[in-house]
Amino acid sequence: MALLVKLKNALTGSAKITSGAENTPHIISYCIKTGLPYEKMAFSEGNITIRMSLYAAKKLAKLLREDEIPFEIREGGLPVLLAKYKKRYGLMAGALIIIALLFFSGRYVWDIRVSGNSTLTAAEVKAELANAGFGNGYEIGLDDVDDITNSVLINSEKIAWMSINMRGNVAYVQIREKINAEGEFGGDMSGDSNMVASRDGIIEYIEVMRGTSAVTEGQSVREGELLISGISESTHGEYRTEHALGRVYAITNRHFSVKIPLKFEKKVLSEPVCTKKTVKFFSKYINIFRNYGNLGTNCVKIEEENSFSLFGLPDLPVSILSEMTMEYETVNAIRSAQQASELAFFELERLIETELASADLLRKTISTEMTENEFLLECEIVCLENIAVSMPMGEE
Amino acid sequence: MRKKDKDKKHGDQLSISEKLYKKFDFPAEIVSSCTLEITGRNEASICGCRRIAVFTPELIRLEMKDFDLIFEGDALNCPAYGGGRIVLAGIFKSITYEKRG
Repeated sequence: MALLVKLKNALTGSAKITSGAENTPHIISYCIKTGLPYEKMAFSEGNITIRMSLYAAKKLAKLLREDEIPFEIREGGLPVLLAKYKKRYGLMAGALIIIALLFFSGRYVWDIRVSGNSTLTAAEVKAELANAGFGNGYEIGLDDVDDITNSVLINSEKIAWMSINMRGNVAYVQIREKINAEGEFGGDMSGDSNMVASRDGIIEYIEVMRGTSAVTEGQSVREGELLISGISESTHGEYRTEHALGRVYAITNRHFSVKIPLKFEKKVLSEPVCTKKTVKFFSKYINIFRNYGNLGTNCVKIEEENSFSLFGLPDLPVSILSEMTMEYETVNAIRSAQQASELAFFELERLIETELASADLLRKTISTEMTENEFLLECEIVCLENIAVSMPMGEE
Repeated sequence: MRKKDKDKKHGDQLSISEKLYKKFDFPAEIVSSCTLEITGRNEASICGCRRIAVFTPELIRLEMKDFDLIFEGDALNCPAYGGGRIVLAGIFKSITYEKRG
């Protein structure tokens, strides 16, 4: 209750009137006679202090002045503060703009945070949401969230379930991705098929989900050899066909070769010919700057988006988009052996990451050779990987 | 006749309004212009006070419509007033009704 009284006093303003203790009966009698309420009375050092609303204090002060009773008045609260800055129009305008922004911005989505994604990136999920009409700057309406969720689920081939929870201005999006059996086991799931070896290897272990294993552990297989058969025999001696599923892990030898020429062509960019700057505020775009120029035949366009964030908090829904169009010319260049070596190893790492993403590397042998014109990198890798791929029956 | 009535009113006899609410069993606070609520011996709430005649930490004399209400005690104070109700606080030793005039 005391807190509410303090809040009321802060918002509506309050005042303390101090006078000699001998004037107490007069002051209280004035309050009673004129119906002016007060909230607190305190005595100290021969003085009486009463606290009352700003309006009541002004009326009481007028009465005390008329009767020439000495007193002091101390005013406080929001009205006093506002009166103090009444002539500072800039501050008043700034305060009004802030209040307006807080009011209006509270109705829009400021940020979207995605969780539950494993193969999809947050940007991809946001793109799916954007296709359904939901993104930064979207006006918050609880009724629409279900429609947006349904729209995303119908249109997306990768999202199985989605939930959008609004907490203030932030949309927390939880998703569950579809488990792609095709990607998991390889090949089209429809139709009868066998599983064959994608390359030579020595089989380490076999996981058969559907079908009959045609090989054993420790067996050496050649590329294209049958691993899991989609033909199985029933207890009555009849045969039936199905879509074989499973994984066959084998030790394989992989060879990668990277060639980096020492002489190459590179593009040299000129100064920007056309520049365009746009402010993106929520989902609205405001063009702030644009210059034009004559573009040649060889041009490249560079787009950049700079977001703002304060004190390490999530990005504000304001960003500046810069679009620069530059001309380029192709010139001959020579890279050093060191540069070629670094580039070759970088390319090899990229190849391994792409080609052997789900394989376990057991041994790696690298040999390099520097010729007059190029840097050669040869890599032999022994790895454990799934070599079974689906092969429709009749295509062997 | 008028003087006789006035004497009766200020005397020990009941006033007409007091007689009426006693007769018809009205709640006292509807008819009376003065109500006094005392909580323990530390707080009193009074309606119908016209003026404060004396205010010291030992004695507070309130002028009501036709009588005075005297509070005696220690550290007497008047912490709040609002809505026609005055609140007295302190350690009360006695409360006295005293007819005026």
